[in-house]
Amino acid sequence: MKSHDVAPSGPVLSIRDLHKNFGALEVLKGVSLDAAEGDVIAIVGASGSGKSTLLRCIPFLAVPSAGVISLEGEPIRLGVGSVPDMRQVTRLRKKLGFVFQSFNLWPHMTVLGNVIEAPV
Amino acid sequence: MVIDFAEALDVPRGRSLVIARCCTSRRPAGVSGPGVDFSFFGAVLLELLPGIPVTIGLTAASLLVGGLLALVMTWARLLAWPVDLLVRLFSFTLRGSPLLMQIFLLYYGLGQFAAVRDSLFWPVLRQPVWCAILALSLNTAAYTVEFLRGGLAAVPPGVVEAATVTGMSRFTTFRRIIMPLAIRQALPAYGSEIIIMVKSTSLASIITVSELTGIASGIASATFRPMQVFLCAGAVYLSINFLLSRGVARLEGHLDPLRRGTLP
Repeated sequence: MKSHDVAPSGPVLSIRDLHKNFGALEVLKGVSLDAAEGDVIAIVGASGSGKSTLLRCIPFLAVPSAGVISLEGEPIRLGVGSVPDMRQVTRLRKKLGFVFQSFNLWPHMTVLGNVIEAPV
Repeated sequence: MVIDFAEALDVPRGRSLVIARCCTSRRPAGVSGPGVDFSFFGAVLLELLPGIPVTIGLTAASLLVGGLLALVMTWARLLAWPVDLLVRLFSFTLRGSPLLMQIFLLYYGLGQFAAVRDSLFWPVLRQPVWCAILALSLNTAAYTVEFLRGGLAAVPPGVVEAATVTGMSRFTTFRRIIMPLAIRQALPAYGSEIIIMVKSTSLASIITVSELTGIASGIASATFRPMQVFLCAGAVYLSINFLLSRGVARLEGHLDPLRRGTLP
């Protein structure tokens, strides 16, 4: 994240009281987190404790059941029935980077193609 | 013995005389058994030439129409399950019944109904060429829709997620990630479909379309040399398919970054 993109005060990424459940199974029970510019944060937990679910909630690969995620002070709005505004989500996703556990590279592209497709 | 080939073949008189002369030429003295008359092959090939654009045209037109139809059906079947069921029924019916029978149904069958004969489609449907293109298109669409389904199913979900998280819109994801991967997956099977389509156009000769096989069978019955004539026609089909399969192989190589540019 470049410094001029961010207001000097306040976290770049802020998560408030995030809940996520898959049916009856409640995975995230109110997670809050603030990430300031330059922070390196490690999330530690047992297998199946919801580390990946938390990470997947941030770019809305998994839609949170409740809670607020804000990027650069801009909260992602959740409409009726927790339906996010996908245009806003798509715009904010371009500011995020995400590395998958199994990388998920695009096999029809070259290394260069895979690299330059990501937000720089 | 000289037969009037011009009448039998319905070709310009000058050209058919070439065949007539070849047919009447004598075997060299002292050679026993059926001799091979090479000038006859040349004459037959010359007669077959006008059939090549017809065969290629039938193939190209039906692959184009059938391909577009398959794309639309692939998209439509994702919308609602009744549409998906219809597409499946279409694919099952057209893949499960003989193409020749489908051609007969369109060419002979449709003309049975006065409503069809009075409709504005009749000037098209009464012509064997259009009936053949229609039947071939529907038939290849039924197969192509299955190839596309297989190709789309083979796209790993994680790869699509990677595109989503990069901030690509649904359409961009489809255009830049899903479609190229699906096509790459489906192309080897579709290459066979192209070749099969070239050969399937020969069925159009049954409803009087003058493509390669139609012309060849005309020459064969006029000259009583079916072996030479159909060998010639077969060689032409083989040449067309050789070029097409090389083209598909090149395209396959082009879609694979590991092999790009390494194929001759």
